Amino acid sequence: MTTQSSLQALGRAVARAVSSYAAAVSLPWPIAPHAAIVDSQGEVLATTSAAAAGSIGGAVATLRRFFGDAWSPGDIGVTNDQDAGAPTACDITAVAPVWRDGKPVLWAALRGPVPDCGGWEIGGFSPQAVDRWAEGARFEAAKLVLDGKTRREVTDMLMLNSRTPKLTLRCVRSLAASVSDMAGEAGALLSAASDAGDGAVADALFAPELERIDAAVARSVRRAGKAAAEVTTPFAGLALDPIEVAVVPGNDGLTVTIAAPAIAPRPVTLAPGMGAEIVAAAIAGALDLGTLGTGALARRLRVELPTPSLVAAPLPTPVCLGRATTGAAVFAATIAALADAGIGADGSALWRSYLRVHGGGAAGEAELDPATGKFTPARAAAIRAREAEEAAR
Amino acid sequence: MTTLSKSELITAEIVRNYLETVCNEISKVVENTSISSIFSETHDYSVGIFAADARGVSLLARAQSVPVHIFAALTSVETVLKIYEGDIHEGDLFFASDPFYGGSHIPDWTVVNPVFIDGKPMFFTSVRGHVNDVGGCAPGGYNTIAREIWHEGFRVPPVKLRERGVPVADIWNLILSNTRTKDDISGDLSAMVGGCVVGERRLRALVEKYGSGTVARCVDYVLDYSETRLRAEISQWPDGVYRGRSVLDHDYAGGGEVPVEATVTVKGSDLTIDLTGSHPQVAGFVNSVATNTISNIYSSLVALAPDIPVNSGYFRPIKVVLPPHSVVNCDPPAPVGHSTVCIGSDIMEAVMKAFEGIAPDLVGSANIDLVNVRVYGTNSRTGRFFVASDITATAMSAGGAKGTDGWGGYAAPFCALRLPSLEMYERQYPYRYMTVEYAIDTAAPGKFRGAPALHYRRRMLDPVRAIVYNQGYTNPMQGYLGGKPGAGNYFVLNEGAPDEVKVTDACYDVAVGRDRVIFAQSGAGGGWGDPFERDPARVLADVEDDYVSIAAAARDYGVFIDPDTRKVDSAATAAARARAFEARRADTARAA
Repeated sequence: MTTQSSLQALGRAVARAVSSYAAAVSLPWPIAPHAAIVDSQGEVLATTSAAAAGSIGGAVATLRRFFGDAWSPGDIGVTNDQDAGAPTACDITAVAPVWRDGKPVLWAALRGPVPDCGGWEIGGFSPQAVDRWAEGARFEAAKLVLDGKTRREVTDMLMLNSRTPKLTLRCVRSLAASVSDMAGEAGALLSAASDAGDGAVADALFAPELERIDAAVARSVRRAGKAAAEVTTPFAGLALDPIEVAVVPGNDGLTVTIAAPAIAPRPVTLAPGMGAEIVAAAIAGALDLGTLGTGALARRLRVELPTPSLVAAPLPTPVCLGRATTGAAVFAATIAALADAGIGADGSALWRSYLRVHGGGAAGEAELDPATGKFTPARAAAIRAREAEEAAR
Repeated sequence: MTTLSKSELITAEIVRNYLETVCNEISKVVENTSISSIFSETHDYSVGIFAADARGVSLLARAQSVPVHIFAALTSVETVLKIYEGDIHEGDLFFASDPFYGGSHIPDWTVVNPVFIDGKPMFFTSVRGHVNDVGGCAPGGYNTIAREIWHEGFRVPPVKLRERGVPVADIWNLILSNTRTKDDISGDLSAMVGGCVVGERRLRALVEKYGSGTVARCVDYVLDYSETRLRAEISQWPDGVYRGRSVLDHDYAGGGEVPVEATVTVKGSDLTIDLTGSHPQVAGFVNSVATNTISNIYSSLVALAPDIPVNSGYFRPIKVVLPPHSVVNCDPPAPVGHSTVCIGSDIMEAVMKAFEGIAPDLVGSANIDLVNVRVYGTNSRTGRFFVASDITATAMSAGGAKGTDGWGGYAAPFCALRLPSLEMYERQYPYRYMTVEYAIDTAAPGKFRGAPALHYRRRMLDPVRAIVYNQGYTNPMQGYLGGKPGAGNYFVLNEGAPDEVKVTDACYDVAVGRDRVIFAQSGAGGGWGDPFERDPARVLADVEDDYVSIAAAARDYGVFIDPDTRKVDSAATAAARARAFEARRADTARAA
């Protein structure tokens, strides 16, 4: 099998996982699942979103770190940890190893939303949260499926900590089924290919995209650029210094440096993985890179974030509104910095597009009421109605 | 009743005492190996040994600990057995905390350890303990603005912490990562498990010594014995229908007072406790699941016959009736966080009030008001987040009972809860106590008075935040047989500062700055008997101790004390009391 055909086949596998998950959960609002195949070095060989590659890779790394060698065929791990890449507590990533010669060589990962995960508000957006625990139940690392059997303990805990237990069960079962299929497909492809998941495959798969990225950077980024953007939040009286972004082109891609104020006392801080994801999305959009099917962009993008700060804060900082507020400012500042560097782009349109494709939670930030920081009443009602329908089945 | 030979009767008594000793040892293990002060100092955990047979799950023995824990733990064991039917193996160890899965409120964690003998679980050692944080919306687990259970913490149904001897690492981590003080609580959970394991060793030794058949027969006898004894006690009580009432100040959601009504029916050797008429389920976090309600009822009852061994046999003569969809038998997803004590203590009080007419010599304040201020923030000395489990502001001092005045710091039904030394709290949390003292004229008057209210003042060394959950301000703990209620409970945040606020009900996440002061008045149990029958010499002693002022001695007790000589004016006292008795007789006659 050629490299390109491998890439295309893996691309089809991740796309199928996303569409099969979306079809299985049958939610009447837009959702933004993403999938990736990650190699043993942590590089993303195939993904439905180059921007989300880093955060999904973070979820894989977290589960691998937690379970170490304790993986068996048929195991599927889950996490919703925002420190491991989840935008909100309602975004669960399921990870299944791809086996060859009795050991996991690749990792299939699928991130999809569940409608609710406890916390203050239905859907995971809780403006009153004082810390991460107030945003929803934390599933740092758990095996949802062990040796091919779904674990009652884990599904019970997911259901019990959700206002939408039936839908949540449907979602996590669908995640498990789709990621399992994806892992199976990736395994078959791996068997057909001559390379193992040791980095050589990534080099080969990334080459065409790296060429495109390098060409776009060389063509478009004429100089270093710098800009700032204000953070808009639903909280009256919460004054935050602007986010400053500097973009510097170099021989090995772009270096993006972000300056940001300290962590805010409200849940408007970005989770650790989100800043880089948002910068990547802004750059991919502004450079008009088109669809990227791998994590190659990460090799050409270095994002430097002050940690802890408003753009990257670990536990216990609440982060549920981080993307909608600080994230929007990071995106806008990045677009503006790129403009300063010579690249013009419609930042608003790109941000809307990013949220549509990547929005977190049960329906994404696009459904938030900007005045309250919660889901609109209509959206909350829709979630409850869909749960009632599911329960009646 | 199980029949035993004379020698077996002796063995049965050895077995019964052995089981209680094992419970005490488990309790010691937990106390000595846990980390959080809520375990190691306050002792807010309980221990029990259970068994299951065709008749169901039975409590065999308990440590002298918090009764509401361990009677409710029985339901946790039942739930584990039901959910894991056919899937319980030697080496398994279970955990549960969800109120709607056999729990009471989310912070009460229960560990259940099956002890396999001859291939079957013959016993279950169990520890139920109140951990200091369970994630959720409010640090410390008491969310005064909760309107549903998801606002209260991470819910855990029965799960295996250990499977066939192997710890289930991700389940441990899921439970612990949903607490804000994972490092401390990890040690507490390990202490609970360790206690259960030590208990298991002792039970195996017991069976090895006497054989499983003998031990089983002894256990049957012990249960039957308690049933027989309690039936004999009930038979002494006059048949009839008796009523009691207790009122919670508010439901934390603007819903006003929340009454609990208890109807106790004595018929022969049977007792029925019916809470029909109690308030419907409310919006705030005082709703009680049935398990918690029953546990609180049982806690009242064990105080009425203290010399009978407490186990499930004790409860066989008792039938409990709970109205559905009510504050004493709520439906999910009702918030229940404060229910273990408020409404729990009101359940106990309503039942105890009903017993005024049944066993007047045995009644007394059977409750506490678990009101408190949860202080949390970052401790600058350690750099770590903390949630203070300090319960000194809790109104847990006892009321009067026949023959004794109330005493400070311990409530009879919560006999194992302890007030740790203030220095220990000061070591752990960024504040210093300024005063802790009895307050004059706050003790509930009675022939045997309640303990005076305590006044606490603490100064913050760091800026912190506070949640206050308070009850018993307008409905303090009641007196019995003419005894009066004592002073109520309340808090003052930022005392003496421009932003001082007196809290008589609740507040949520309020800032308290460095060097600011938090004040608490924790009331105490009611008096027992008519205060005008109190020995004047005891009233004088209370005046000398500054528990009672000279004016209050005259007003509340009809005892006149000369302020100069500090002696009782016997003539004036006798005259005043005679007038009072006469007036009361006239009132009674008019009412009749």
